[in-house]
Amino acid sequence: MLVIKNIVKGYGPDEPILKDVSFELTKGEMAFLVGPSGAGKSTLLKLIYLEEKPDAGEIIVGYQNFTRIKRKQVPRLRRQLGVIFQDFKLIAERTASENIALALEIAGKSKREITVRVNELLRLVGLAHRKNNYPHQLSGGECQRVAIARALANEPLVLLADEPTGNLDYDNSQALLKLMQEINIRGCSILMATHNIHLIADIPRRKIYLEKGQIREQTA
Amino acid sequence: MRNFIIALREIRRAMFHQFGTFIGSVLTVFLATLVAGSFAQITKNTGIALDRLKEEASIEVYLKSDIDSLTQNRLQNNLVANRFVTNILFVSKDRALFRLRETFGQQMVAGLKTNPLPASYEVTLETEVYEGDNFQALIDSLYKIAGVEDVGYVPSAIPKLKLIFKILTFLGLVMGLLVMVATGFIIGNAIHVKIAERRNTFYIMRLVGASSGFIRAPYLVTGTIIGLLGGALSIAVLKLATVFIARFMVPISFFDAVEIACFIAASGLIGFSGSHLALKKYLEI
Repeated sequence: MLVIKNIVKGYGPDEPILKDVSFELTKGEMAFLVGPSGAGKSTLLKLIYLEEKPDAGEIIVGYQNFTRIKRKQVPRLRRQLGVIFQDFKLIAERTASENIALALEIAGKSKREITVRVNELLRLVGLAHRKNNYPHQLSGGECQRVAIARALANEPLVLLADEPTGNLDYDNSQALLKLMQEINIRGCSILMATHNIHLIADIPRRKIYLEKGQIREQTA
Repeated sequence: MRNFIIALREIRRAMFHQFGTFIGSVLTVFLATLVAGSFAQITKNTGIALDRLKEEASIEVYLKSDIDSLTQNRLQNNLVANRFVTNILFVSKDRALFRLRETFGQQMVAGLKTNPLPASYEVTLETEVYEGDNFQALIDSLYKIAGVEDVGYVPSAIPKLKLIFKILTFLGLVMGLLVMVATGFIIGNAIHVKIAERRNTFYIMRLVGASSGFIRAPYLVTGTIIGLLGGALSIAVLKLATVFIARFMVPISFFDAVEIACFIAASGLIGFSGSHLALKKYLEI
């Protein structure tokens, strides 16, 4: 589903941030990308969701080589991914349901399809009763759930999560992880970056340890 | 079409959140196009006045009292052959006296023992005679024809009016150009402000997979709507002003339907161009 092959990425003449990083994520797998701040986790995710280009190596999502694409193809390929962030990245002037609908509008879905899918996603993340609330009216945990719903809207090949619990307290973090595991059980591949190893220690999923731009070890 | 509908939805949302900015932009464009529209209106009416004057303009060629019929025939042929002459009408001495009586009353001619008025030709001219030095050349040539005593014409306001018309047309074009640039700049600036305010939103939309067209469409449509509304508003105010002036001051004409459509469409086009340039300059997608 996701193949990372010999990825190298640096900025300027300094030592590269990512040095020959390789791993695979199979269909329906959930894995954690673990490492301290500055290890290169976010940079690797940025390369996957096409925010940046690698200096060398290949990234393959499904059957598409993301490192050999034209600029014009980027929006279409991004729609095959779902991404969530530490700061949620919700649009302030859109309600929860409108934020989720955005991804479907962009994908060209009809109004009816959008309504049905948005309601389905709101139920999945447990926010059906908050659909008309704006982000500032929601708690951090709720905002992240909206972000997850938006990321899942177009049934992505892979859900990427960049420190999604970074702004949440312990209880909300646990609830979020539980939700992500439920989503994974439904068949969605997930790659989640986190620096908080204790938070995920007990979760029986593969952990890829990244340190100083290199994979140190992987545990099943 | 889908993008257009989504664009309209986005505009509705943006208008709800930034209603003041939107109205401010429409009013600014309204003022700018009002200036351009006023100039166009003045130029148009000056042109109409000039055309009317040209149509009504005629000269009178007075004949010598002792002119013989052969000379008069030659003179008449000469006039008819002139390329600037569209029509001639012979006014005999008796006819001229009759007209004087008709115009000023019997008392005016009561004391006259003989008819002092000369026979004449009323000559209607082509409007091209007012191009360049044609008019003066024609008058000079008429004086040289045998049998012509004098040539009567009202010292024409047409050359002066033509000059005014030319100046107005030139100023109108310059003003129009300036207003177009200014309007485009105003709209572009309004769009720039909106872009700056929503930079984060665009970033999020890009991450979710929005294409450049999807993000740009609402702003292009907004710019066009601002232009169209501003233009339409200035047309409405100009129409009211025209009705007022025509009723209480001098009769003037308003733009015809095609001109109104062109004016509003041009405002819309300027709005579109202003937004397009602002998006090109400030929106990095």
